Amino acid sequence: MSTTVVEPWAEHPLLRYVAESSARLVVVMTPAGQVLAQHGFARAVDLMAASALGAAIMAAAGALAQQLGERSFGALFHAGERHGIHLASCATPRGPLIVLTVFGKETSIGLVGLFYDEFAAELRRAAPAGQLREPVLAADFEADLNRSLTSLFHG
Amino acid sequence: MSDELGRALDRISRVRGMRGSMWVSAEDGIPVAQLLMEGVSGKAVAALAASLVRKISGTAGAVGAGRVRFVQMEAAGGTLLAALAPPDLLVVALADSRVNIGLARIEMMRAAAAVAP
Amino acid sequence: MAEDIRSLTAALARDPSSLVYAELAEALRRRGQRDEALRIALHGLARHPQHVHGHDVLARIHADLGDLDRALLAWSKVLELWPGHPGALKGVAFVRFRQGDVVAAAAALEQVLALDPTDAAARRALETVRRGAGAVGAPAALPVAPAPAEAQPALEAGEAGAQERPAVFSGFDRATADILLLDERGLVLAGGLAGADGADVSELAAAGLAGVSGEAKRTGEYLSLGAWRTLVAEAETANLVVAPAGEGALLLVRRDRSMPVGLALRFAERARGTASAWLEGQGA
Repeated sequence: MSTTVVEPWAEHPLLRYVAESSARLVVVMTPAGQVLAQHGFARAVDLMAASALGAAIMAAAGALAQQLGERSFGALFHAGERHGIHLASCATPRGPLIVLTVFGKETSIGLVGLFYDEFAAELRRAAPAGQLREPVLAADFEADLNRSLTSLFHG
Repeated sequence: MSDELGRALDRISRVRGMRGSMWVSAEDGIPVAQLLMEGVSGKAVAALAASLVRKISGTAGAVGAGRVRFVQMEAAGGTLLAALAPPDLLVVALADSRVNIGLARIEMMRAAAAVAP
Repeated sequence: MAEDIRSLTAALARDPSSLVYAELAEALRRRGQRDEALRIALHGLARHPQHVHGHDVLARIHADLGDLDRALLAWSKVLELWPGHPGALKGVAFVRFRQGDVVAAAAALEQVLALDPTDAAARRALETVRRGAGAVGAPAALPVAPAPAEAQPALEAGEAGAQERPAVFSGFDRATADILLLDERGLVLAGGLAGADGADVSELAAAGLAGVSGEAKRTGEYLSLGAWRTLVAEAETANLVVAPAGEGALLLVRRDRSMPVGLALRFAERARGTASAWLEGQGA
């Protein structure tokens, strides 16, 4: 499990957010679902699924907000038995971003929400103006894990 | 906010030195009802107080002290107080250093007992 | 690699509370600098005791150092925080395999495959384990095992026994049963804490207290209360007083409920003074 970023300016805010919120998984993505930064994912396929679903949920919520005459909803929160998810968007000079956070019982929605606000502000401050460069798909997390496994069992 | 919760906060807030008081969901760390002075972030107080209570409760359990009922954190510039109102609420107060903790504690424990099932 | 370590070290120096400690520890481990990696990982985990990745890295370091028991403890912690963590399950499988417990190793790998049937590396590892058990292709005899209960730290009540510790609090009532001094890493320095059955629970308490101290510090900062001085918890059977004792050390005092909180605070203040003086004498 590690933190990887496409754009270096996102790294420090993300590391700080993860440290303070004790989030298990975080994805920072564009509204189209392209991953900008992530923390905690072991497999590329999981990351891609999470980002696609997160972007879709935000798009659906945005459509619902429009129906109700709202500009947008602030943040979405879903509580599960073992995990919760927090989904919110933030505007940056690089364009709008969506942040999906998955957390467990070791933290709370209160803490996640509190430090998300700071995270969003830091992203806004840190992001340089201009278009995002072409996001690289999530790094090969699995290869790293499997290399370790190979060396553990056969080393 | 409900009358009962509001009256409790009102009594607590009258203790000299109080900057604010609130009811907090213990598990989620989010405000349920609040009475705060300007400049006090209810979101931050709720989240951090709930987390602190959870952590010290874990330690108390580990050392055989049983369930925690009241927590007070004294710092250089103020005091944070929390009374547990089982099953799932806290009553939290933020105060400056001159607060009469004993009086605040009485009001908070009374409030916690009043909402107990 | 050297450049990576340099930049990670610089990042950690800029922000010692950063999670980058885990990346740095992993980079050092891969470079073979295991003692340094261990130091970095332990330091980082003292600040972030719930950090899953940190415990995973720590486990790998212990495994590299040949300390399989500690590796298992660390991976068990990962699974406690994140049940089903694939890296930790594989790590547990590795340790059990090395310890000759092929059944437990197979069970852990089967858990990995239950979560992800496409994990080819886990499947190959399971074949290796089964070959080792002389049962190629045979299904494991055990059902999928939960996070190994037997891997609970050997620091649980009743198991550690009271270790030899400096008699810092001699003269204080219940000096080795209700007063505990720990360092910034959550390691016991002096005193002791006894459980209800009289067994030493010092290390168990110490493990949780690092998190309490960090949370108190953070709370003081975010709520503009300043540096925290004392934390008191009134509980069903005892009152606890936690206080910083100088240079990152932490003091825990437990007093029976019959002692008023005000008196418990005074008692704790005296103990803190004694602890601070002793720490100064240690060159802390």
